[in-house]
Amino acid sequence: MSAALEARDLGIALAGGNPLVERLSFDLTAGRTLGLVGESGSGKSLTAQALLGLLPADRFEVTGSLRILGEAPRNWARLRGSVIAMVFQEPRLALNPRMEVGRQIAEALELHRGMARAEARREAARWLDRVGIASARAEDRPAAFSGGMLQRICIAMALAAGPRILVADEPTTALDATVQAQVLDLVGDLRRELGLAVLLITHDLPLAAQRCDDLLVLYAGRPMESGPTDRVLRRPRHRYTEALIACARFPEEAGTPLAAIPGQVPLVTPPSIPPCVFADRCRFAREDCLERPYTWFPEGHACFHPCGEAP
Amino acid sequence: MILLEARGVRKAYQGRPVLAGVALALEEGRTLGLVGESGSGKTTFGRILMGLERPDAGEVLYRGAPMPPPRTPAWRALRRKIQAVHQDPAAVLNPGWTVQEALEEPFRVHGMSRAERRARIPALLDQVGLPGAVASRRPGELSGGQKQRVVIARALSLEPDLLFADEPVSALDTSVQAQILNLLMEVCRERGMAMVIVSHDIGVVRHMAERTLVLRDGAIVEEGPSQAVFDHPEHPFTRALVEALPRLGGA
Ligand SMILES: Nc1ncnc2c1ncn2[C@@H]1O[C@H](COP(=O)(O)OP(=O)(O)OP(=O)(O)O)[C@@H](O)[C@H]1O
Ligand SMILES: Nc1ncnc2c1ncn2[C@@H]1O[C@H](COP(=O)(O)OP(=O)(O)OP(=O)(O)O)[C@@H](O)[C@H]1O
Ligand code: SF4
Ligand SMILES: [Mg+2]
Ligand SMILES: [Mg+2]
Repeated sequence: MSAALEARDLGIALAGGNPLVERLSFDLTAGRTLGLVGESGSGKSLTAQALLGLLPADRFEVTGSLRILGEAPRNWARLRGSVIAMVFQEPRLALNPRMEVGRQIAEALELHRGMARAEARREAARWLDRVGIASARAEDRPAAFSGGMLQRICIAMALAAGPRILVADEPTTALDATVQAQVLDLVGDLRRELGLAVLLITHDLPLAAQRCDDLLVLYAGRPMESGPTDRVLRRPRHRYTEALIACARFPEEAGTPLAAIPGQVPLVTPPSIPPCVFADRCRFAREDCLERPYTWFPEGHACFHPCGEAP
Repeated sequence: MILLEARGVRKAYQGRPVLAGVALALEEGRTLGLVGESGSGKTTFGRILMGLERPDAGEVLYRGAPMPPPRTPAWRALRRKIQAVHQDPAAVLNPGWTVQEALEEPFRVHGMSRAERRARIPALLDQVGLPGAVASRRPGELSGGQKQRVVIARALSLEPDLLFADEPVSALDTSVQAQILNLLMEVCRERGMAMVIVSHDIGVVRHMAERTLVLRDGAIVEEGPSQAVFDHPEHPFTRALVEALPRLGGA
């Protein structure tokens, strides 16, 4: 079956500047979830926005090829919402502060599913209920909701329009485990029943382990590793993936220092085709890591001295 | 000595009760975790503890004295010592200001010279793992986790006695999260800062807070040393929270 969304050699740069994202290729497939993980500032949200054609052309240069349902996207206004929907990382910025949340969802339903006003209103209430928000609160504006409630409202709005592809950028970071499970079960149902294809951006590795079929690990705007979730988390190949996973466990004894990768992710990737971007923070770096050009190996990673190999 | 105390705090919005009589006591230099269902009133309780909002009933005492009414001079003087990391950074960072301006502002308000202010910025950014070059950027040019770290740097800059940290690491990957949690632990230990930390991630709260309160529908349903609360939860709701937690399978 062909991919619902196909990204090939995607690149994002500030107009006239260094690349922020480079060489990114992946498929989103009906009924499956791809997890996008990686360090803060590594380009996950920019990638998400590029998939919906949301990066302003006067500021960003987007290169590579993108196909949605087999075609190069042209009419974004028709695709956005109804074919490909997005849950933004910052819900408060995604909602209109002056409009009742029920109305905002209903408008999406009128626009994308052609519903009449009264029907859209009922359907909006039903969606609020499905994400655990009392439908009586449909008349409230965004300011009257908690952070986690706003996240759920945004998820309801994205799903209500009945998209084929969902791009969800850290959609549950303010949800306790029980509500998070409720909301992600709902996404899981739609995946199974309607063949929704999902890109889930998350920093939460246990969550990714539970909800993603495949993982793509990004660092400084470049893919480091990809593969089936279980394989990537249990037997990482890239040294960066390994380091990221090592930071995910809390030690038994509370209050003790936590393991972190020393150093910082670079703000912009160096020009041209640079060597391994993780080299200055990698314990296993050798000279050739700084000399050989970035290479994507057929085993699904970009490390010259992968885990398991004698360093 | 008790730094912060809340007694019988009640709050309703448009007739809907949000906090139904909650209490806490926090000693100097101590850490307290606040967990609960989304919408259970954690942020609201925090706003009341910070004196940003008045409770409908009950009281909040800071060093034994009632919290002055919001935005009065007495309250402003206190605010230097009580800082918050807001749950959503987009709501507190002025979109028109550069990071530099956002970080300088608290110093300016508290009467520090321009040169002195400037000199402090690089170290503030570095401690939250941000390169100095972000100083000239505006919030719209930063990632979610970068904004969150600017907010943390700003809250710590005035060396508060009390920090209310509302989901301070919710947008951060495991490595940067560890770095920020280490920083918070260090500040608590070395400067004796007290902290109330809210997180949906039980692992974070168990590691960071000596004691934990579990909030549900505006009431405290369980309270105790964090390890005991999470390792042997008593209330069915706490148990459900712990059981619903996704886990990384054993490697
Ligand atoms: N409008 C912009 N102008 C300049 N730089 C930008 C802009 N937007 C993002 N960036 C930079 O691009 C990089 C990638 O940002 P992005 O928001 O995609 O990161 P992210 O992986 O989503 O991080 P996080 O996990 O913190 O949300 C960051 O270094 C960020 O500062
Ligand atoms: N300004 C307001 N007007 C009306 N209702 C409000 C207001 N602020 C908060 N509420 C309501 O109070 C309740 C508690 O909100 P609060 O933000 O304290 O929850 P929370 O525990 O922090 O949730 P989350 O974990 O999702 O951030 C929610 O039902 C919310 O809708
Ligand atoms: S390529 Fe070299 S520097 Fe980069 S992650 Fe692998 S071992 Fe480390
Ligand atoms: Mg992001
Ligand atoms: Mg909150």
